[in-house]
Amino acid sequence: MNINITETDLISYFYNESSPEVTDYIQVNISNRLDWQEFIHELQLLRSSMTNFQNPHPTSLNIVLEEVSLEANHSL
Amino acid sequence: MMTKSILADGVLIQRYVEGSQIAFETLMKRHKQRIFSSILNVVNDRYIAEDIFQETFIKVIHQIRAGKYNHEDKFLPWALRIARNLAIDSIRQRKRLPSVVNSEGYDIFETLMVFDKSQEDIQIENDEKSMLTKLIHQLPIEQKEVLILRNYADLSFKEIAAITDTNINTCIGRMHYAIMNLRKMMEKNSVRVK
Repeated sequence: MNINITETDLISYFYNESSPEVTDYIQVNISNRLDWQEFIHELQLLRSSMTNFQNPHPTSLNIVLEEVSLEANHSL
Repeated sequence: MMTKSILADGVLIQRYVEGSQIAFETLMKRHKQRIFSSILNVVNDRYIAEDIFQETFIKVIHQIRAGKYNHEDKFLPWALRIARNLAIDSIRQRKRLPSVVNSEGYDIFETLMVFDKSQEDIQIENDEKSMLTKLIHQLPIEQKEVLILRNYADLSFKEIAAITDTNINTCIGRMHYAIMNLRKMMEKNSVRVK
């Protein structure tokens, strides 16, 4: 069976969202497809540049928690 | 051995409705990083991101209190939809595209953990990733938000489609356009992709 794999199929595959049929096809054939490997590598690079998670300042959390207390008092 | 059970978001919300403030605090602490990082990367300004984060959770509180939350354990996509709408409004109000450097004057992605590489390799890779991050901020907002919601918030394309009022194919298509645009920008800026 031959499936025409596009770059959007590779995006779905990279994020584990492709169909089992497409996933199997890509896994069987990717070792012979340099173009697919390069595209997957681009996706990996993109994801690795987006891994620096940030936390809100504690003041923001306190402001929200104050609102939680206010709401709780209102409902008493 | 004691095992710590993790309560589902829906359970925490129910407990909050029943009067537990700790339940809400747990919920907020569980999702604060993903929500804040997503907001920050859309608006690209730490102070504005803090404001939007607060506003998002205050809206969340009011909506839950008003009995408007009915998404069971889909709290994160729901909260991100609120955050996303506030972030888009903020960008529209500023009437300019997000800048590359945030208000504190540094690139938020400058420090990346890299192991088993020489200092020179690490520097080159950091420079490339830093450049890539700057280029991401230059993408159209529709493309940038798919990248952010998929990579930071770890939402599925289906969930992103629901948040952005589109469909799965549109979301994947936008990511594809984002990659093609980044490719062109990297070529133009002579960024080497390792």
